[in-house]
Amino acid sequence: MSPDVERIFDEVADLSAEERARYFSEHAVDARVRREVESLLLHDAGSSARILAPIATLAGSLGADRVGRRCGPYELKELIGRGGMGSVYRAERVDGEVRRSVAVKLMQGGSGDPVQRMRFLQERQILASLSHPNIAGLLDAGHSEDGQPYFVMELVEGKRIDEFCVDLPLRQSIALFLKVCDAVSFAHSRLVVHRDLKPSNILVTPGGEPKLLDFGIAKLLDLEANETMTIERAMTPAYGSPEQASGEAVTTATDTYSLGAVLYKILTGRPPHEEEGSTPAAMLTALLTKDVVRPSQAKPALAGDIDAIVMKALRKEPDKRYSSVDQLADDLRRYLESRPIRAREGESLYRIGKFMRRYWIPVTASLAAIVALTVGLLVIARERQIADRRFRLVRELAGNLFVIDDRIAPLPGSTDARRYIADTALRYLYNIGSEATEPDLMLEVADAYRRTADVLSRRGRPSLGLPKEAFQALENGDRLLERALAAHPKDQEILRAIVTNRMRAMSVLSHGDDSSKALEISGVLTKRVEQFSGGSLKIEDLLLVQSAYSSLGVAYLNGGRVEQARKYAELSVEFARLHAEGAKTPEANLAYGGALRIYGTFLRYDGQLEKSLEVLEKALRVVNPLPELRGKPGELGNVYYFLGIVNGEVDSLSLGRMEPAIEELEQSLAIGRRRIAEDPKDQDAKLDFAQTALKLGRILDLSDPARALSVYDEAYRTMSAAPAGAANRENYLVRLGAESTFSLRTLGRSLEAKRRMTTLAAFLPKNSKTESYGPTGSLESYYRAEAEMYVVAGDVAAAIKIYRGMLSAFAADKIAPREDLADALGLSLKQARLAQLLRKSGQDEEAGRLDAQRRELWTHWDQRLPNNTFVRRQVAEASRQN
Amino acid sequence: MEITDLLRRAHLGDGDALNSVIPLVYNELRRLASNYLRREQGPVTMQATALVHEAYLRIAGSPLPAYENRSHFYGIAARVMRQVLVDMARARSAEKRGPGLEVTLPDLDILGASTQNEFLALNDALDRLAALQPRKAHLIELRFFGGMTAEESAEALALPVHTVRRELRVAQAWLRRELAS
Repeated sequence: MSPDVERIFDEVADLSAEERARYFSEHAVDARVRREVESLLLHDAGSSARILAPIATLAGSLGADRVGRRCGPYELKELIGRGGMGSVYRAERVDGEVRRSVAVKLMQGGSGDPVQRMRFLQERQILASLSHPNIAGLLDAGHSEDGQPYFVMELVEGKRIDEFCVDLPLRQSIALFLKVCDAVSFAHSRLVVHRDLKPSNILVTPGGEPKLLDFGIAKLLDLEANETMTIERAMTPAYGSPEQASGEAVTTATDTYSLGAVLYKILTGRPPHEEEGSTPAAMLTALLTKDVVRPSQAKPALAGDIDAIVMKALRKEPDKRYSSVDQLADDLRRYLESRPIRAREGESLYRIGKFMRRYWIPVTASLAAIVALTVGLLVIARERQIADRRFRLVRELAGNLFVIDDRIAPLPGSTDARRYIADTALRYLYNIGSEATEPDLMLEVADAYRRTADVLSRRGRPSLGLPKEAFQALENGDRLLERALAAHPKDQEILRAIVTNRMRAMSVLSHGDDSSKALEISGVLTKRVEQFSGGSLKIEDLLLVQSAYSSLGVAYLNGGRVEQARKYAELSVEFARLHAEGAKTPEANLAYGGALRIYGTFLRYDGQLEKSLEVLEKALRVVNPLPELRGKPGELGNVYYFLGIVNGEVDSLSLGRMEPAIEELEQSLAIGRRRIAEDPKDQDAKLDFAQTALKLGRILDLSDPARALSVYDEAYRTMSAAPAGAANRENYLVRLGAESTFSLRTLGRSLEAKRRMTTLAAFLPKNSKTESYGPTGSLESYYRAEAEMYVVAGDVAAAIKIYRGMLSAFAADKIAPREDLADALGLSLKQARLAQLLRKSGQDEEAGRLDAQRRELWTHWDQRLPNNTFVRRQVAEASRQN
Repeated sequence: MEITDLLRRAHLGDGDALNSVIPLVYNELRRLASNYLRREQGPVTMQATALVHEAYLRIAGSPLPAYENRSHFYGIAARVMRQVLVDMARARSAEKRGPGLEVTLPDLDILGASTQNEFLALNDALDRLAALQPRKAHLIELRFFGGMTAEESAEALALPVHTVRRELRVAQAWLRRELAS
């Protein structure tokens, strides 16, 4: 439609046929343009129906408004509210005799997966038992006919808590709020986190009872989320927590924050972060970076305890808040009773941190000035006074820089600023350090190097991901420390710093997998840690020594020196035990359990399965009775996992005891499921879950293939839901998918098995060199499944070809079957299966050769580990198949 | 509070404002949709509420694009309605094909299938128009999916009313020709 066509169309559209013809000739309209205009005019006369009808008909078939429709036995009566995720209706139960009004919340989206539906229903039962006078009961939940999840709740008629409190005296408002705290605490004790507490979710009935709405919905919605669909979780910026804004772990501390925000609103009349007219992004940034204005600034009467209580609930760091809602409630009760509150303990420290947070830009600027100034001073003189001053400055720098870094690290796009901070620090430290002679100053500088290294690279924390630079910073620090140690050989402070530094260096190296360099450092670390532990130790030093030995154990194990690895793991256990006895805290006991668990797994690699089991059982006895604390579920899941695989992992170093293994792995799986439900962003929990599912599935496949299949499938869905590009996602998808084909075939669903294999091919690693054919590589699972598929289809030759390929690829990997028991088993299993297949196709000679190799390998191990149950079993097996 | 003010605040990320605006807008749109029916004569059996309701589920479930005033907001509604219908038509024709070869297909609903195909053909034609003349396609969208009058569209796009009328006319002719061929 050229401008010409359009213009002429406009001119002639309302003319008669003759007038148009005249127009065309008078204006000498180009023939092509004329044809175009005429053809458009031909379609000008029609009615709009040609366009409207298909739209209208289709729209009509959308079905009626939901009012009048049913969700299960409930008929929707009227729309009473809309939220970010769905609509709320007043509804009535129509199948029973009692006509009771309820609230039905109908969500968008939904999952068509029957397995997921079943879990949804199971979970619903748990939530339905969440019965508390101040929680609006979840009466029912299900899926509507078109698959949308819905929740049926007690219908609460009341006022929002903040509105209700407007006319209430302060003490009565707090008393009301305490009931809310009790309800939330009750739910927490049932492992249910609300995640979206806000005034509109807390209604007060005309009788003055608060009622919390929507408890448990977040949990059920998580079950709905799968790979094809994600339900966006509503987070209300005004009442949401910083960790929700930055996408970090959501825990009970999240509810504590939101409760603090609700209390803030009740007290002051506005939410803590009300940014009039700002964009969502600005609000989230404010949530992460800006300090909340103390309630007393809005209402001076609130100064003092109430200020402190609200501010403690609203701390940005979850672990700095009240450790539970009960503690928040406790402080509020103390306030009502005029007793001292906990929130004001350690206030001066708190104020300093707060200052740093508020003024990070001016602080950065003044640091730059300090750097320039101090470097200048250095050249001028070395008087004691100047040294003192330098000392003070470096301490300030070290402290401040990293407070700033902690603050800005979670902000999007902060990488450049952080890099700048780290570089400035490094330049500065280098200058100071090279001149330093006083041990205190050297220690300070070394510590600053270590912190800078943390900014550059730190496992499991937000860091700049620069391990080489981090290692260099640590080396610089280490040189200083060794120089200091040479002058003061028995100084515990210096030794402590060296041990810490060398441990970090090893951890940074293992990022880059430089195991020979790590072993070299191990030598130094061993010496220093022995010197250190020979001196007088404080309780927390025991933990440092313990982790040093534990890192040494790991380094030696990775370096293939099992003997030393075991020795250091033993030492690590010993120190962990001492520390736990001294410190008497649950955290210390958790660390002790962790050390035992690591030791147990080392024993397994060494073939000592019974002893490994013993140690792991001890770890279980240590960890299991601990109260809920951060890291406990993960550790407990680990312990159960290793117990399970030592007892019964198929085709691996295990005792072949399937029944206890199934029980333990099921435990581990259940823990993993809970961890994921509590924090869907926890990728480690997902990996643990998938790993457990793999092992459990293979055991179950022998006795209950249907259950095995459902385990594989659940883990497969969990991994698919992980973001594309997440570590090991594809690896697990292939392994879970490939293993599940064995169960499918046992269940007679070969066609599906075949189809799955085709899907999985897309996830195979592009470059086979990056993937091993060992037990953790996805190629192993995939090709084994493919080969067995050929065997079932009667094509033994094709299967033989695949096994041959796997065997030679495996052998080409750096394996040491005569040194490493796991390698021995990996090799032997492939040889055994290949030999079987060769016999099937009449190639007895080659099969015999393979069997002889296996017998020889296990005889070697039998001599190396005499009377070892596992090795004896392998020897027997290798001889039997002849 | 004035609805436009609520819209502005909702747009700025105020979740509470968004939640309180939706029942209001819902009613507003219900009215709009019934006008839409009244203005277009013919055997139209469309359920206005259902259409609007679906559209608003979509709007509330996804971040709101920038809009200046409430006409603009309706413009978004029109876009969303179109998307809802496209999704639905596509989903249905996919259903008819069946997810896998082993599934026995139900008998094709001849009438239903033809409506979906007609709709998808219209939608494709509208896409082609948008590639040539985006503003005309937008006007069609406002008119047929948003039920906006020429005056309302003119206000939303800050155009003279007669321009809107003119462009709608030629755009409709163009679309009808596309659909006839």
